[in-house]
Amino acid sequence: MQKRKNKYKFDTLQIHAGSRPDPFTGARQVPIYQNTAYVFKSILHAEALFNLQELGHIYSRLSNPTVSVLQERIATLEGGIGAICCSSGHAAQILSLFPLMHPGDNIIASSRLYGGTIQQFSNTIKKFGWKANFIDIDDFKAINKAADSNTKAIFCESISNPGGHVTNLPKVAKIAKKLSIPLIVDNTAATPYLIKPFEFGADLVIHSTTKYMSGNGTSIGGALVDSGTFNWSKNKKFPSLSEPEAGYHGLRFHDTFGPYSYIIYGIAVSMRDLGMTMAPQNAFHTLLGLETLSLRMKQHVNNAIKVSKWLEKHPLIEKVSYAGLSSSRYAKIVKKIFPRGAGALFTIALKDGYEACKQLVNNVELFSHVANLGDTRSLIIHPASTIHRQLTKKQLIKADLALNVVRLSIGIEDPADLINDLKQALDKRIQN
Amino acid sequence: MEDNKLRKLLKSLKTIVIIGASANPVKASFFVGRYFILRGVRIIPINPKYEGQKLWGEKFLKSIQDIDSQTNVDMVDIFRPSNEVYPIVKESIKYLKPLGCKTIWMQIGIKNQRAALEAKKNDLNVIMDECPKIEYQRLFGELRVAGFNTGIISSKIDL
Repeated sequence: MQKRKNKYKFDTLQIHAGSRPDPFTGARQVPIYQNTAYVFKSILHAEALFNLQELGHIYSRLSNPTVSVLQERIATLEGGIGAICCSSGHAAQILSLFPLMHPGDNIIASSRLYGGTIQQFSNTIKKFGWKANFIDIDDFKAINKAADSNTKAIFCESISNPGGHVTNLPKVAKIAKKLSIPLIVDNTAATPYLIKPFEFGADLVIHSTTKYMSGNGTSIGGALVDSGTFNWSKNKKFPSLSEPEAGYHGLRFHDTFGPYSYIIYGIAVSMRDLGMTMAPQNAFHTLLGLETLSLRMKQHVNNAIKVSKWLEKHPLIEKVSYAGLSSSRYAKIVKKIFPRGAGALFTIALKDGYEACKQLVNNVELFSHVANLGDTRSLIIHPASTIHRQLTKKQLIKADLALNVVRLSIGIEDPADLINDLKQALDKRIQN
Repeated sequence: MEDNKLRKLLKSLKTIVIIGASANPVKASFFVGRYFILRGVRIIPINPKYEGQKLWGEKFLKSIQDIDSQTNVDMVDIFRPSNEVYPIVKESIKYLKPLGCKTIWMQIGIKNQRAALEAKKNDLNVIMDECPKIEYQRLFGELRVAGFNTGIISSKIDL
């Protein structure tokens, strides 16, 4: 298929892609279709919809006009063929794997993924008969070694949460290609403004839209984007897409729908049977946020650079783990694939251990102590005792999350105010 | 082809010849044919495998040469491997251009530059590696429903 070219730039697309004036009322902003079911024009029309011969709204578990706008907007911003929005980032993870996996199958996953994802991949997916082999994603030999004939995907984050590590996507994509399996990239912490993983060889992208995309801390949501370029019929690895589907009278999704097959399967089978639907109201809030994504990301990145540089020189700080610093071991790859910056999420290690972390978190007045990231507000959390609490000691070490580590998600406030807040909180420790 | 031109082309279709048409209801060529039938377009199915059988009230024909010379044809839609396309295009120029055929369409995954050049030399539109059903769905709003990237941006109420 021809690559869809768009003459408009990112700042324009984040406002316009996927939406048009409402054809019935002229409303310019996207209407919230708080609606469950959609009237069929005739029996013939209904039959065509259920046979997947035509596309149309049937029932909001599968699709909804407000959510569709968000789907197309995210697909366009990522440069993908299409997207499915779902109830959360965690739902997007399962949604991305569902067409690929069968009992006995496994994935290769980065050991530095977000703690909640490590949890989902180490325990919950076992109930489906799936397994994750965790490896250091910087160790390319380890990736190859972890693969076997039942490996169906490589899963990593573009910028890891919370360590602020970045993945060498061109290298990892090359390995995935060699193994004939898709590379799935969680692009939550970077957003398509900072990096479009498809440009570096990724096949699928997922998001927690809860974070930078919405930016306003109002709505939980997730998205799965397909590049449309993976050949699902090359071997027998992906029977859900290449072999006859019993639920649709022996239809072979990839044979019939070609590059559109993964997304159509996602709607027709995954969303139908897993029901991890995004609410239209949440899609609307996320769309409002997306309109200013690039403006916010610029400020997030600028602030993160200023705050991290200041922290790096502070006597109580042992280490700042931010890929945007020239001292980072990722500086070279950041320059190559993240020309607009390495995000605004990073960790700091405190010299005086857990007690100092506790004091810092308790003493800040502007930073909010919450389990979220990518908000316009600056956020702080101690991962080992909260979001990564379920991890074993070994898993924590592999994730670079010792007890003396605090995660910061830098917001878009005035950077001087953020530095002053951290200064007064750290000063209290010095004074004691 | 530019979107506005493609919109006009797709809306003007009255008869499509499908090369490699299938009677199997889960095959892509069946999907495409049925989609246009429901929009009032006549489909002439060509496939020697089904010769003599009927699909949507039309007889399957063995080849392009079997199309009645009184028929009006607007487009040929090809569901055959890329390396089989050249003779199909040659035949289309010879037998279908006199019947009004203006467009050669090759489905997703099908490309043949030599055939495309030959068709263009004979003033035919050529579209390769795309699907007319999906393009119709993209340009007239249906693809948008399923969250696909349509590339369509407009501040106008009527497209």
